Amino acid sequence: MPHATHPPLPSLQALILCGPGLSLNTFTSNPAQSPKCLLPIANRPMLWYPLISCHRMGITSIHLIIPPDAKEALETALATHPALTSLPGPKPEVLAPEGLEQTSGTAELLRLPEVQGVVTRDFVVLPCDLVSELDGSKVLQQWLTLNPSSTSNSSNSKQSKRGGGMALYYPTHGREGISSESKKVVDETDFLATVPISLPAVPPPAGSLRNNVEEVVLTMPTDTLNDTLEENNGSLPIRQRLLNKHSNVKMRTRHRDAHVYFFPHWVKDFIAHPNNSEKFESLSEDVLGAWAQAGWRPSLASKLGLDEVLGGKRGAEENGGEAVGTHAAFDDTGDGGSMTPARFSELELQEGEEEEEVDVMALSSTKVSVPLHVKQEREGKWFASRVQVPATTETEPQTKTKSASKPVSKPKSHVHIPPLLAYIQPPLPSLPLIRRVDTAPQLASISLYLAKLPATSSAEPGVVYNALALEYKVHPTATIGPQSRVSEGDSLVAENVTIGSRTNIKESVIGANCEIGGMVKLTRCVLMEGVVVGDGVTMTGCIIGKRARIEGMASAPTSVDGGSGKAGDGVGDGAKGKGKGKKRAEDEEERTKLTDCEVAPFFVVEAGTESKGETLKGFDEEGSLDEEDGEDGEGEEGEGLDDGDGEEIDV
Amino acid sequence: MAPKASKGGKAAKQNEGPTEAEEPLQAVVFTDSHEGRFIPFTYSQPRCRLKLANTPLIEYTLEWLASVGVQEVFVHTAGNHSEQVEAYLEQSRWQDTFDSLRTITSAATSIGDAMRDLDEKGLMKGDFISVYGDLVANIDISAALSSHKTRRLKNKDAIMTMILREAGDYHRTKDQHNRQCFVIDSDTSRCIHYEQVRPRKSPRLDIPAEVMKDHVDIDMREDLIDCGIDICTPDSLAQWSDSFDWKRPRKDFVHGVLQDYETFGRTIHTHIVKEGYAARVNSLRAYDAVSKDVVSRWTYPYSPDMNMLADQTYQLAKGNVYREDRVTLARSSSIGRRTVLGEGSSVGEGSVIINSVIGRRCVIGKRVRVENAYIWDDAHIGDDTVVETAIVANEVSIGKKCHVKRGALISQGVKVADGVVVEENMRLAKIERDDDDEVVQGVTDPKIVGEGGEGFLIELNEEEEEVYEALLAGVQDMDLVEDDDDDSDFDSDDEDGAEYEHEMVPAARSGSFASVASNESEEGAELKRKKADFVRTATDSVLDGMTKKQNEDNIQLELQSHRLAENAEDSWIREAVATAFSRYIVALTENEEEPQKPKVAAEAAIMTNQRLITACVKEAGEQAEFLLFLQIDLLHRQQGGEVLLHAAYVLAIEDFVDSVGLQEWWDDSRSSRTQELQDLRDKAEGVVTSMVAAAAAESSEDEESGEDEDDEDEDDE
Repeated sequence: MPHATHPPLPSLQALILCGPGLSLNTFTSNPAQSPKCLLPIANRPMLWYPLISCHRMGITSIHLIIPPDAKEALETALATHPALTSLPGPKPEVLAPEGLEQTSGTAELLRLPEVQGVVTRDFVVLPCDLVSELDGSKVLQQWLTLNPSSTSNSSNSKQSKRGGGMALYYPTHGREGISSESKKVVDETDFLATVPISLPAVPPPAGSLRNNVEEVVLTMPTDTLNDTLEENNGSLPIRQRLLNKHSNVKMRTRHRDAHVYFFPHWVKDFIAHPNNSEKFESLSEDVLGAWAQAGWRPSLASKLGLDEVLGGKRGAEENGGEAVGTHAAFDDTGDGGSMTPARFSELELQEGEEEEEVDVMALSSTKVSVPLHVKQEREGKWFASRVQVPATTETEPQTKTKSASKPVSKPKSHVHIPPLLAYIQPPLPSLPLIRRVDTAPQLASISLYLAKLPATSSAEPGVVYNALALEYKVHPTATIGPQSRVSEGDSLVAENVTIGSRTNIKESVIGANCEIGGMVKLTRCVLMEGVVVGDGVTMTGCIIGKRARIEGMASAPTSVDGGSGKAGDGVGDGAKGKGKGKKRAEDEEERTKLTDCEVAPFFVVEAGTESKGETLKGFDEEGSLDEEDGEDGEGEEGEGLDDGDGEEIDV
Repeated sequence: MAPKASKGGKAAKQNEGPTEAEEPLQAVVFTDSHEGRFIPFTYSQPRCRLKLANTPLIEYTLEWLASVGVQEVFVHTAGNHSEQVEAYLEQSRWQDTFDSLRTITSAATSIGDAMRDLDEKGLMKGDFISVYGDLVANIDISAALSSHKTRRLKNKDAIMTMILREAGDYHRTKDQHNRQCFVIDSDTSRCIHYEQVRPRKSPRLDIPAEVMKDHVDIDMREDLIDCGIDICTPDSLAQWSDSFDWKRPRKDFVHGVLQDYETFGRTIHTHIVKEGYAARVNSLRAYDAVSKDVVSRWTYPYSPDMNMLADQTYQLAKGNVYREDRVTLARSSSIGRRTVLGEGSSVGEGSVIINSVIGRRCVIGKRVRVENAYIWDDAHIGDDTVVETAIVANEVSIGKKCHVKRGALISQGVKVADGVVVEENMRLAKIERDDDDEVVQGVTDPKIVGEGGEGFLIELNEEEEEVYEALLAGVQDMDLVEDDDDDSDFDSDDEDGAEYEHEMVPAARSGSFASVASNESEEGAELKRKKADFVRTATDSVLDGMTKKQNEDNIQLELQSHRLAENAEDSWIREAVATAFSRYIVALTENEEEPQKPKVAAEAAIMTNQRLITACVKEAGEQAEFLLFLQIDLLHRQQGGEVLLHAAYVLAIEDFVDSVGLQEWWDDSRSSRTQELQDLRDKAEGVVTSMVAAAAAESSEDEESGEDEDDEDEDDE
């Protein structure tokens, strides 16, 4: 039972960063009205996915950080959108700090006083565009067990040890349908260099992520890497220091930072440290990049003010100042027993002697406890260590010379830099999907991937459903015309959708309140809410923004009254024509045919448009189609049914 | 896996003739490298016969080869003790164990030469294992062999597999000063970049951009022990033959093949072994470390109680004490942990032996303390003597109340009189090698060994140091820094270019053969590599120019631009030009259509391109160096001697070199460093003697001409 093994972790809070979505600008050109985080992925707002991740981790204290101008839209959605209102647990709080702009860097964001004030404990940072099948609590579990503050020796408690961080990287390759979908658009990747952390003496249980947790020593976006390569005449300089300290460095070029960070509380101070305010702009590139390197570059650590932040001086002050906040959190849950060891170190200063730091590792009966400092001095892996006798004559001079020749292993500042760990998902298709949806192709491929998951409503006992699966493939409120086919295996149809007759929908996601005419062919399309698709439209691989209108045959026939009917006939003829060898070329021309297009919200694609690989986008995006929607929808539905019958007879 | 692979092998074989699957597994053992590191013990004995835990080194290597299924072994020896190695192997049990055991003696001066020799002789029928004769290992390589085979079936260009032992961050036999960095693609286990890293010398490691772009998962490993175990292919031998200037299997071969990957697509793979033991005894430090590992049974089953030799009778007792039969221990003596006692040895009253290896028939007196020492057969240690971490060789006799301090090396037959203190890191020997490389009795120095002692203190002269393939492990910043480090005085061979950074290490170091001409052993490895690269490209460019019969000025111009681009030193230029000349002349003489006589060829080559020579060769020293480079390159070439003679003649006649330069070259020890070089040089003796004689007769004239030449040169520049 999941809840038995993963008790709620009340002390953790989550920050979900709702950014502007620059790469999705077809659909987010007006971020105040339709912020990126509300774009639908498989008919649920994007925000739903990180929220559900938090809930799965047992985090209830969630802050959504969004620029003030989009606050209203977000709050409305939170209050009204069925997917969001149905989420369990307390409502997430919306935090719209003044001074936060759509273009602010993620580290800048964390420096804002409002955010600083909110962060009172260890925290998790998530992006709003994270779609993760992975049970975040597994990562969390690894973070807690590997967190050095829980492994530190009590005898060392003077040297206040702070916890490390945990990041999440997913492979951009090795998953069919998602990785290779967009060959033109190469997925954004991050360059990552890691070192293994010592494996436990007892192999981790099956399903544990332990084997893929490594310590990050270098990380940068691939673009930065390419710049570095250019600057250095086509080679990447690796500092000796790194190899001195870590002799087995693994570099990965096709993973991506999921932007999920488990941070101990002190990271907040680290980001806000005066030394860094200039330097740190982005959380992933600057903060993580610096932190990763600080582990093996002592000079950098002090430059970054890490020794001050970690040294305890600042920490003590702040803990004093925020005692109330922490206490509140503590009382909130009323469940001191479930406090994790990581927490105790934070609380120690306030609670005095009451709580002792618990060394979980030492309590373990299976773990061969290797004090961390030993590992640091590179003595962890003694080979033939049994031969090191007499110890006095051999070991000691050796360590002496070693430390003399390698000042690296003993930072002058005496501050232990907590490691930045990362769960690095191997590129195996069988593993849970983790993706950031920040490009349109990603949006489409992830939506379509989710559409293929079996629905939870088709209850078969004993089947474990994917956490991200939807309740219905085709929502009961949807109306589908006769002779229309929706391939349920790989498509989704949301609430109140109407679909005309003889329409074929394959591998597509149809958003709520869409109206789809007759004779429509949709293949690998994603339609956001309220899209109107006219009769006879063929679309393949398209992403249609909300309330866009794709006009079909309606304009071709003469009268408006009988338009639908005639259009139906036309289409019918057209279909026949096609079958008989395309006799009626004129009709063919009239057809709307879109392939691999992106259509902006509220945009109207005129009948007869044929385009491929284009982004259709207008300037007037404010147009309201509310009234028409309802009427047309009903009307077309009815007509579609009628026509459908008639045609059937004809054929 | 294995049967499948061999099946596949048969199938593939039909496509290309003789079946590899049925071929016996062959191995080449290179012995006699690193002799210099074991001076003075190697004066009278080949290194592979030195005993490690009372068993000759080569036994471990052969034992391991037998255990991994090798059927045919070629033991390649070169150097002073070839006969001894051959004789030893002939009477050894290995003759029966292996299907065939052959000794190949050659005059090779580097692994590269040896490989080319093997290629020429065509002994290798298929893929084979190449190891050094000082390997102590118990790793299992069957997985490596089968994956090598599968790889070969898929891709003919996978020419080599290096077997590397994962060692963690620290290993006692791992070189801490010259760390090898392997950059490996973890999906294909292909080695995509190789670099030797020298802490603080080369502050950063440059990973080429292609590596980052073409590979998804990259491992940058510095924690691997390279014991020189390679699975080679006939194609790799061909590579060696194609590049006649490659000497070292890592720095030249691996580096070279990787560099040419874009052009030829040949790949080198790695196989990382995570279990088992593998180490090379290539330095005294390693000797110490590996001895301890053997005694501590890390190398199991190859520990003393395996009784590898038929006449051994070791039995293991508590605390890793190994004792042969007929060991006499006085009742009050104490044998500590990790000790090996050979047959017939006796330990007197009140003596303490701990952590040591005692050979056969040793007599240890009363109240002696032996700690961390290696005492070989038939040694005598007098009463009340203390031996600390030291090596006491065969038939050494140490008097009473002596003190042998840490790091002392006492060579075969030395006698130390009573009451003498052998200071730290002294090397005592009774014999030495004279200038002709002959073993001679040295003159006893009573100040060192006391009255009545025999032996003297040896200072190493650099020429003693090996000219062989220099290898991986050099000096290590390890537990015995104070002991064996400086005494062993291992050369900083080229491969690792070891810079001893330890304060206690004396400055003595050698250049190995590759640096013969330039004494650059102190330069950073980087500089060396730069030099090698420069020489290679410059040689190619000059040779290209000459072959295409370009105007000599153009060639010179190009050379100059190379030089400026690389900030090259003059001697590099000379090396490049000399090499190019030698290759050009050789090419002319070997021209298939109309082979030219060496004389004509030399004349043609030199006369048409004389400015190239005048531009870089002026003074006598430079002339000598030029000749030396010429000579080195002509080594092992057909008609090399002839070409050298005629080239020298033309150079002398045309005043490119004068008698002083010739003489200097003649006298330069490097020109007669090995027998082969000397043979080659002797071919040109006529020119030198006649020129020198002529010069002596009309010395004044000669001087003038020398000056003239100088002037000309300046004009040219």
